Amino acid sequence: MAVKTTASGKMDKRTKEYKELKARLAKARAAKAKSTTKKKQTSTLKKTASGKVDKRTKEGKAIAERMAKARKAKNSLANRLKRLFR
Amino acid sequence: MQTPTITIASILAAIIWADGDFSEIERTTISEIAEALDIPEKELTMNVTAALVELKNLDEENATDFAVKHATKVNDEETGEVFQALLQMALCDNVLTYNEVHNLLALAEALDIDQDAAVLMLCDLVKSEPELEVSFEPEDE
Repeated sequence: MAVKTTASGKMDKRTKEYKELKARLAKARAAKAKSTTKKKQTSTLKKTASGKVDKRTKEGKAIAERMAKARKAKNSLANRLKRLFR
Repeated sequence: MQTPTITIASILAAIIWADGDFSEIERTTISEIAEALDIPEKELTMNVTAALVELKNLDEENATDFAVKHATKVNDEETGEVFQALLQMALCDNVLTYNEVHNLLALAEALDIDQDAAVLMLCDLVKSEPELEVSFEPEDE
């Protein structure tokens, strides 16, 4: 398909070809969005109004516990004390 | 540490008490604090448990007084390190609440840490915890 270009070399947005191309792209984007939505798994995690996991729930606490363990493994308090005071 | 373990444990216990039960996250954090402050973990845990028994029957105001009373006994050279440990304990459940900030600032004052420095230290820790949730909701709801 020969697409008309403007003087600056860009696609001429007023042509029929450009409008068709734009319609096809919109269709492809819509199809992609639909398939992505279908793939999304529904989470059982309780969320706060801001969409974050509610940290006060059992699941939230389990996450916090895992993070505390990871932090301990990294020795972050000791590192922070070293950085700030020693 | 020059500060007696029982003093550190009592302030930590007050923070744990304010947050509810002595949960697994808090036990892990106690172990992290013990390691960072060079205190035997068993000794710190034992003292925290004993202080929690003492705190059990206190109301919120008396619990704060209990913590403040112990905070004034912290060695002058170690107040910053102890405050960092308190911050770690308050934030270990990944939620920072209005009451926690209130208690932390009261303890900072008792530790003779000025409010500006206390807020900066809190910001410094918050910056390193991207998952932390800041809650403006009253805790009794």
